[in-house]
Amino acid sequence: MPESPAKAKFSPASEATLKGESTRFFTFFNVILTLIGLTFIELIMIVLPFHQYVLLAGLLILSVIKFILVIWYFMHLRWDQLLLSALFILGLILATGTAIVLYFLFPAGESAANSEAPTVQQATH
Amino acid sequence: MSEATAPSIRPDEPEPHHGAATNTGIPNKKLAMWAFLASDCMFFGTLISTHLIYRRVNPDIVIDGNIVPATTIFDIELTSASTFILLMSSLTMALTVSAMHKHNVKAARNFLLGTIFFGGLFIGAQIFEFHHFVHNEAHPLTLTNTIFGSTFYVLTGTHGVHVLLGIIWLISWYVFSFSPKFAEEHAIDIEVTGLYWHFVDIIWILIFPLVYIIEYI
Repeated sequence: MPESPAKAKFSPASEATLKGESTRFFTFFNVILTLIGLTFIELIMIVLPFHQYVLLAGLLILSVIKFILVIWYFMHLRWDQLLLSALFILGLILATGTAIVLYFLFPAGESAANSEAPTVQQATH
Repeated sequence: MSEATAPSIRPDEPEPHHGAATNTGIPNKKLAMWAFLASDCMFFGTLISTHLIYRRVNPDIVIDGNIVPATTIFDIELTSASTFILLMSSLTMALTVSAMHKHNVKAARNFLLGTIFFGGLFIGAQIFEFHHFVHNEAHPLTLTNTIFGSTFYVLTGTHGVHVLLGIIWLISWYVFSFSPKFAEEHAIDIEVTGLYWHFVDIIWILIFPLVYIIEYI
């Protein structure tokens, strides 16, 4: 007697898989609560009277924590092979390094458009 | 027939990945997606750094001869809600992958639909935001009237296109899940789609403080 196509395609998952995924289910909820909490902290930080550099550092640290939480848990790097982490981190290092070098290569407020800005404003007021 | 020939799995062994065995032990599709995401990191890295560099070089946003603070352009409440929506979509995507690992197709389908819903909400919010910025009577921000507008729209627009492609991909999986051809081996494909979706989320995690919140400091 031929099996029905729907039942033949999905066999029951192993006990180990079911147990592992059930544990992850609660982990995912804890992670999302942490992510939402960190986002609220980011929003609260901007109204608190911290120094500019403290705020910048704080925002960067919070973003990095959120970033790591997502790739570590939601993207399964915690449970996957190290090669995948290494591959992704390589791309990340190249991207971050390029961004940092470029950012400090260009001095602040030196463009022609910026120097014209106050003149334009004075002319209109 | 299929039960008699099915490979036996010891309880202490991890379940094998479906598809051909590889030297690395990682399915090719998954490895390829991670390599793509690493390259996409560099792509978004250039876009984010371009925006930040131009903000540093041109600290003033001049629209129609007036210097306009970015905080009067942005709607931080809407952007915060979008961030929350995208984070929630990441949760539902993770639960979709988890349900597929458990071979629970019905639950996977529901979580997939949830992810599509949240992704659609995010895109809707972004379209509303862009429309609001462009048609602002006091200081319209367009793609061409300021450098800030150019880098902002290119960066957030590229991210939006990534989200849109992700939604199309998710919808195609949702439709395909009703096909009789949908089988266990597609769990890895759903997982790969999930990786892409989470990547889109982590990019927004960086864009939100570096483009939006930083203007309020």
